[in-house]
Amino acid sequence: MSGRRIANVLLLATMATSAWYFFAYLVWWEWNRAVIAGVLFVAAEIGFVTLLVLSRLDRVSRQVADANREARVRARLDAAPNASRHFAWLRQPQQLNVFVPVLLGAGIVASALGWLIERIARLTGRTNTSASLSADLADLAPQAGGFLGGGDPIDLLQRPRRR
Amino acid sequence: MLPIVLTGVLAAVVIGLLADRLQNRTDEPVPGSRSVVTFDVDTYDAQQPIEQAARALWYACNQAVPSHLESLSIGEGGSGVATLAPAMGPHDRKRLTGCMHDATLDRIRGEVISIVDDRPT
Repeated sequence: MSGRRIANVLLLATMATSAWYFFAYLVWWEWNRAVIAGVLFVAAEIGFVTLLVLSRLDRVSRQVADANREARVRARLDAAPNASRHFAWLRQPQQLNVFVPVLLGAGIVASALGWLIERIARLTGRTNTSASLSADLADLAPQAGGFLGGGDPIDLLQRPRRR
Repeated sequence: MLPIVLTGVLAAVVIGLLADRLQNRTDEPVPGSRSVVTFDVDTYDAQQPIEQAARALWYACNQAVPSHLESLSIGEGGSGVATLAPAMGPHDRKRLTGCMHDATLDRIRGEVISIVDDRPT
């Protein structure tokens, strides 16, 4: 049993006893003793209330201290750097022995695909490229002598307009 | 709700009992009656002789009752016998006994041994 609990029990016993004797002395018509018992009751009551208030204050201060501790921890966590670093494993050279073979293998595969696509294009491409291209572009070519028919543009502008 | 009602009833009962026990009334005097009070007085390191202390305490407490003092004899050792007329009622007895037991005078404490009433038949 803690000291504070013992003090509370003693104060409560004192309050009960003094209250009992206060009324008993009043019944026995012993006013001086009743006054003394009443003073003892008030003193014990003040002590009990003081202990109660002190214990409440102690509890409140403990709660405030706990709240400050939690706030400090939260501030420390908020101030910490962001842990989401992409490719963080690349920053560690000892782990490149995994990355380099993968990179080399991917390069080899990409080169093989490129070589294969080139071979297929060479085999399937037409050899008379210029002939077929000239046939395709013939429809877009202007008429011989240009749109002006080979005349002088200034002369054409000065010629009277035919209606 | 029930605890409040019980507390109220208990408080009313306690207050009623205390009121009955603490009330003070003027007792109706009975003509021709007497009360003989036997008491004893003790002192603690008193400066005066115990007989004077007993007499002082008695005269101090005699003011608590309306009965007149007919005779007072103080013996050795602080014991005394007082005769009051008319006889004291129950409230007078309580006041006189309480005054004698109480710390009315410093270092002097009295004790009422007996109160015998002599009432005319």
